[in-house]
Amino acid sequence: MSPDEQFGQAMPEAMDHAARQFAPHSPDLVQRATLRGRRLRRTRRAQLGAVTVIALGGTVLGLNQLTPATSPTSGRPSAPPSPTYRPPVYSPPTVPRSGSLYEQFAALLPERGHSTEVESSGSFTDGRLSGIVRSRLVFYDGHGGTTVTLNVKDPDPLAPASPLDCPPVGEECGTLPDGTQVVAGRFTPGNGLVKAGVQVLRPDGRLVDILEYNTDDLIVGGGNLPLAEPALSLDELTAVALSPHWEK
Amino acid sequence: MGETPADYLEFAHARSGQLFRTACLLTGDWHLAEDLVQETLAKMYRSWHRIDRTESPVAFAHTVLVRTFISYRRLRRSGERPSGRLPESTARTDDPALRLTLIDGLAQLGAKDRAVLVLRYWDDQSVEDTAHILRISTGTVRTRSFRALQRLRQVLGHDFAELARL
Repeated sequence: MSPDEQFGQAMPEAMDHAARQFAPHSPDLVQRATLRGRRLRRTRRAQLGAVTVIALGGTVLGLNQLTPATSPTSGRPSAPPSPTYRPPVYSPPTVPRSGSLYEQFAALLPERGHSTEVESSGSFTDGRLSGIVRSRLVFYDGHGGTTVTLNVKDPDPLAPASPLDCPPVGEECGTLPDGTQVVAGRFTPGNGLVKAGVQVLRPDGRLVDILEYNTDDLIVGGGNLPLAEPALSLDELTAVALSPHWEK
Repeated sequence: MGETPADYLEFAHARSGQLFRTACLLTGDWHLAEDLVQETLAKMYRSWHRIDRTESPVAFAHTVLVRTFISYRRLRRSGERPSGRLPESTARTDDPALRLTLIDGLAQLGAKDRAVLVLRYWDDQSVEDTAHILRISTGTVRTRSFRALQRLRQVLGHDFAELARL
């Protein structure tokens, strides 16, 4: 048997072994996918509705009046979350709106800890986004590490922003006077994990999403035990997501 | 989840583990794999009422997963900044040598080449099904598979001897 054939024959078992080295997915993966699926379905329905209106001879103005919640030009939601939201206490510093995305993100976090970059993509320069704007870091506060991921997205003109979901349990929702929506929540998906996240949807459709887990084990390995709580409070995450730093 | 179809939930819970492991091999990154499976299942949810359950939703899910991965990679190529870090650092560490070897090798391949190998050798898909999923010809699948295996063997070098002795 040639080396190539040997190689091919060993591949299935080797792949099986390699795949099993990864930790299992989060217990709430299906739940998150379902919520996302509902949002996609709503967007599709809105698009189909828009196509129907156009087919019937509706004007762009008429379309906006019929579907203000999903207008591609505003991205502004029409159904605000329930008003249980409390503004954050933490006030992030003002930092330069250019340079490395990771450095901008890390500089907005509280000074009591330090950060290490895991990976970043895209760029953020004076409010302009380029590529997939995402930065993941580990924040250490002296007790352990917390994995924190930032995503900043603008609405796709072909898939306008939907209002944020506000599930009835475990989340805090609200709408600021300028129309910015905030959904923040803390969850315990199991295995000692605590997950906290905040989503901020600005009136112009820009979405800032920050998610943290109470462990750095998924990143650096080594079997570090999770912290009792993530190092960054929900208040701090919310303040960073709401920071004018991320405005257009 | 009251309005969620029960058969969708059953399907998602039953298949998420396998989809996730496939996504791990494709992306080499635990977090990206989660994102990929989340997007795949979300797209399945969106289209659930239109998916023909007499055919295989499993095959459909794999098609969505791989095509989403290819489009992710296309997007990331235009915007990502090299970090000089290995993406598989999120994996569990009970057998790091092996994990780094194979996942590292796969990471050296282009997205479609990686997808061809994962579909053929992990998902056990036929050449025809692989061609359908990737929207390429069967001849291209064979060529890509052959070249990708050669490239992988080249990259892994002597490490593959360990791999083959599993």
